[in-house]
Amino acid sequence: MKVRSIWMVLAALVWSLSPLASIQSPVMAQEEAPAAEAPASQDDLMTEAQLAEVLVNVLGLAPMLPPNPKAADMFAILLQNGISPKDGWNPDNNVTLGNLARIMVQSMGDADKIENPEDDASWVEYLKSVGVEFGTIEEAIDRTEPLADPVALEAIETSTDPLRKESYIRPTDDQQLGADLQPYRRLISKSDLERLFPQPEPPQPPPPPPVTPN
Amino acid sequence: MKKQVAGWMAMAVTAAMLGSVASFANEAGAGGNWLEVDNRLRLEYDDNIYETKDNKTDSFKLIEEIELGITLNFEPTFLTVRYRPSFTWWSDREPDDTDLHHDLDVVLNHRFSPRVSMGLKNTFRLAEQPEEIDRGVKLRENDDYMYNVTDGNVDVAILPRTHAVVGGRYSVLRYDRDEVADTEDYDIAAGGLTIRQGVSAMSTVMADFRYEDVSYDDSLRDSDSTYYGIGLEQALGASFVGTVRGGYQDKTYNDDTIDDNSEPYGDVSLTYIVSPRTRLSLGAGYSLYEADVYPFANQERTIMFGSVAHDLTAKISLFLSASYQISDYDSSEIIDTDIEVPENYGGEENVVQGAVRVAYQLNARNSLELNYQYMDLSSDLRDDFERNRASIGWRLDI
Repeated sequence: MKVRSIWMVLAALVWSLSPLASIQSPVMAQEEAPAAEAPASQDDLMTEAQLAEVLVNVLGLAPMLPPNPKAADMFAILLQNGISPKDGWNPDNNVTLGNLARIMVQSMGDADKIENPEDDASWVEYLKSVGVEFGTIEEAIDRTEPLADPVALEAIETSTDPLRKESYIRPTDDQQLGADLQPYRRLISKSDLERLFPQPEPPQPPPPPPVTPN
Repeated sequence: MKKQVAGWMAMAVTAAMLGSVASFANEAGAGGNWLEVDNRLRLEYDDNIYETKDNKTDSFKLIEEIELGITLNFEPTFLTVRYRPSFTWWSDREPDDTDLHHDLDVVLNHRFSPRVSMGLKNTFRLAEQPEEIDRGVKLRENDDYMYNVTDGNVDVAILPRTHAVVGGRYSVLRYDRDEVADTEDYDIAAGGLTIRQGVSAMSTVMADFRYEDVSYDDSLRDSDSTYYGIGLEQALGASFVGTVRGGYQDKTYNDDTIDDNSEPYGDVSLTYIVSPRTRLSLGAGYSLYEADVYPFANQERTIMFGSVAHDLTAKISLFLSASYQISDYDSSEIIDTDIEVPENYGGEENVVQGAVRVAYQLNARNSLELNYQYMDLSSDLRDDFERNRASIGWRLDI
């Protein structure tokens, strides 16, 4: 009970400090917004960079990325998992209904079921056909589930940045997503070295001179 | 004993977090399906379990992994917890025929405002590396270890296309066995600043400054490094994202008998969508790195990898990965130890690895997989070996 209270207090505190607490739920770009609604201002629109930031978290990809990842990290891992707007990720583009539907279907693993992938309407129709409907981007994100089998193809970390390099210390049978490619790490410790190069016995001190008993 | 306690602690922390998060998520409306439970069971054949050159010992293994994932979306706050214990039973490994590993990752990302965001990530690993036995003789004891990395950063948008990122990281490695711990345990503290400047919607240039302090229990292997670097991130159209970084690293050793190092470093990575069914990743990196081999204070590591994911059909996916690592140990970077080694002790270790996985999705919750891994070590410092592993597995998304 205490732990739960702490969580709630912390979340409420963080949320109240955030200027975003007063921001309304983002809507799709104007041309895709429902005609009955008032035109959305630029502040209400969500860019593809903002959408990617939300997606890597809700799709369960965050543990495979550095904390607070940059746009290139997010776009790369989303591409690796086959999730992309029609024309690729462009951080400045606003999210449209067609692209949002496309991304939702891709994250469900159903992209191959779309009859006409070039047509945005096909993606929206597919979602309707499986009973997924949403009015805002927030609603769409709430309906998005973590990927069943996420792929991070960078099984071997090549970054040289001391703040980003993933240590190649991993359990012997660690599952690397994609293919099971585990970094090799086996120490040669000091005791192994002593075994490799047996050290000569330290010289013995000369025996004490014989003492003749009186 | 320490390892067991840490393992139980990992499980207890996860159970406590799971309970409290469950209550909180239900009451606060975390959105979506916040709890993910996967199970992965494999039967594997391993032709060289002790990684020896001759007199190889083979074994079958049962590998059971269960993964608990919690993803909470309280936009603009996201919390992800992933806990994955892994149990392995070996049919032919005496006297210790089981391994138990624990992985626990906690990620917290939060956006304070449209211009300020932060991230925290903790990575915990507890693993067993078994003893090595050849012809009934124990060549080495186990190398069980505990490893923890805490990462954090704050990103501030100074101008619409100009960001300053301040970050820090603390890594701890602790071996279970005292005689290994005496020389191999380390603490690494790193911090730095990155200035990122968007030159277009698809291109960003950056400048890095980093400082890293490596402290071993054996202080003769300690070092300090300063990094000065620049980089470029580039996206080209719908199907390409690439990053290239490079710079200079100044490394100073605590052991006065080893000269300071100034070396260039660099890495490149790219993701390319060849077709809607085929994804390609390539990467390479070169830098000075922590040494796995005593009594060296440093290694020059070059590493490259390539991965291809291809959807053969809607339900069958093929993953191919390969990597090549060159670790160069120079005799001039041997610490002042009491062990006498040959005058020009040093050389290269080359590790070649390849892996294939074919995953067949039976239905929304079940999939089958075939895996094969190959590893080849050729070394100037120890015996070479080859290792092949093949497995069949069942994955259940609960």
